[in-house]
Amino acid sequence: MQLAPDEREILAGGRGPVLQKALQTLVEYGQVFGADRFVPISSSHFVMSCGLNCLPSMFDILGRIKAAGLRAAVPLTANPRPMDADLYPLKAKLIGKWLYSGQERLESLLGAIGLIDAQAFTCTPYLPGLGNRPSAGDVLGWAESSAVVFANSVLGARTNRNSAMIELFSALLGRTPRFGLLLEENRRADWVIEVKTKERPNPHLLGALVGRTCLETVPFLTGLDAWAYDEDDLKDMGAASASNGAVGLFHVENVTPEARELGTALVKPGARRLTVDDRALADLRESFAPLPRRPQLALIGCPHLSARQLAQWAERLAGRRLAVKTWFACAPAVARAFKETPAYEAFRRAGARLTSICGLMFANNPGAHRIRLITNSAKLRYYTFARFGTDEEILAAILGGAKEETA
Amino acid sequence: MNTFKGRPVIGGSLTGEALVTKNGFNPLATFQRDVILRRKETRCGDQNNPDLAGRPITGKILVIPQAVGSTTGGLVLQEAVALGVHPAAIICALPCDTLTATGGILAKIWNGRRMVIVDGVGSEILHRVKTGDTLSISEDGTITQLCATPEEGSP
Repeated sequence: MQLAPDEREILAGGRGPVLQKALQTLVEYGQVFGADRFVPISSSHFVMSCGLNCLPSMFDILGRIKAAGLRAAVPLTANPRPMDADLYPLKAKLIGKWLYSGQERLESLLGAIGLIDAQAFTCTPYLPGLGNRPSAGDVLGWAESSAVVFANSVLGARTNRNSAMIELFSALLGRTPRFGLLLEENRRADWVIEVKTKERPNPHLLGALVGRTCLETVPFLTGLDAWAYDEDDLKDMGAASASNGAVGLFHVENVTPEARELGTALVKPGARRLTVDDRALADLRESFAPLPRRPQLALIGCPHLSARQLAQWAERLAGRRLAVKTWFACAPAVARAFKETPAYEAFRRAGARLTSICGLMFANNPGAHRIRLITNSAKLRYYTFARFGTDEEILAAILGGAKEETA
Repeated sequence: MNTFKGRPVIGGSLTGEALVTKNGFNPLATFQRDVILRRKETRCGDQNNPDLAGRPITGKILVIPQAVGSTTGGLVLQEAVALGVHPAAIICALPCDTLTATGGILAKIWNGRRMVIVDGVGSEILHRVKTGDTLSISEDGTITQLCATPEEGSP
């Protein structure tokens, strides 16, 4: 890698041993992937936001950064917290307290390193008003696969699917090695996915299918503009494609910024093709285990819900009473704002609860393993024992299994 | 005696027993239980990987296509190396992924501990080398199959 004069100085130890090691890590990481030089970044998002007591190496690095007085050179946000003491059942709470006994320490370290505010814990830092929404063309040092795929695809920013700590070192140095999805030539599509459905495709199912098909390559989707997929649909589809596969960037014809600008010129010659019809999505749905007959808990909001999605759920629940405990997960600031809206009263009266946890951290808590958990998220289904249902199926389940009553 | 050539991502020379999977290697799923319990040895905890699930992994030469899964995987791999429950080496048939690279680099730079990584070896190694074979890795990324376990059913 070609290094700028200040980078050579840092690497020689001229600005202390901690920054030296951070840069050395990024240089070696960049070299593995053929990076030619560093480029400035405009923000960072940290993936490791649970204070797992079993990761002393992470605490050691964060402690050394704080002790050296180093701070993020760019805005820094972090993934959701792992615990909600108000909501968790006793066993999950007790185990969580032990498992995440480093939580307070982690949050204090991240605060010292420069988290934008004490409530910046969400996997959707890019939603409007949450303080980390990149613009088209911005270069980022992010981790968290669902946030990476959204920033790249829906906002037209550029970040690699970094591993934990790479994003934090990038934040300290305000730069990241230039390779992969930062380069024009790697943002072209290897697959054309033609969506030809008669019904509106469920974003989570479509994303899971795209992920399984394309793995870590770049898909170009056509036919989705007919279904008016909005940012929230693309958020959920992207998260499913990034977890069921390893998609870091997708394009949607006439919808996402690069596809609007360049159209089918984005598709590589010889790209592979797949047609997705209603049958393909139904087959995928049927390959998943069915919802349990008596679910104990529903978790909606993986990735975190937007204000609009919360309002939609509130509308569905208005005047009803939930038969199954249901948690709706969203960023702390989104929850705070939703509580100020008129829709919140009906939502609360239905028995729904707001939280800002990471659903994945909850489901992976050994104290939660015996809970019959259901979700509308194909990401949560992939990583945990949670059973998947479409929004309609989940709604019917949480209202007590009552299908639409016929007259 | 088969030889394979890869790129030394984290160089080193050693001889050891191969543990092979044709599926993606998930560091978080593999190590989370044993790292939490601070065990001295690891058996792979990834129930989605039939080649590895339940097998001892500490000290082996792990032969994989690539690592997959959560972006926390690099940190978990670093912790496994710090704890000493890591494989002695990881051989990637494909180009190295960000999780494997980060885990190895973090452990080397921040913990002063070395886990050899060789990548880009080619997918043939996944077919020629079987779990239990003895492999030797040299500094330049050459891998030699010293002793092949007998094929099942052969005399």
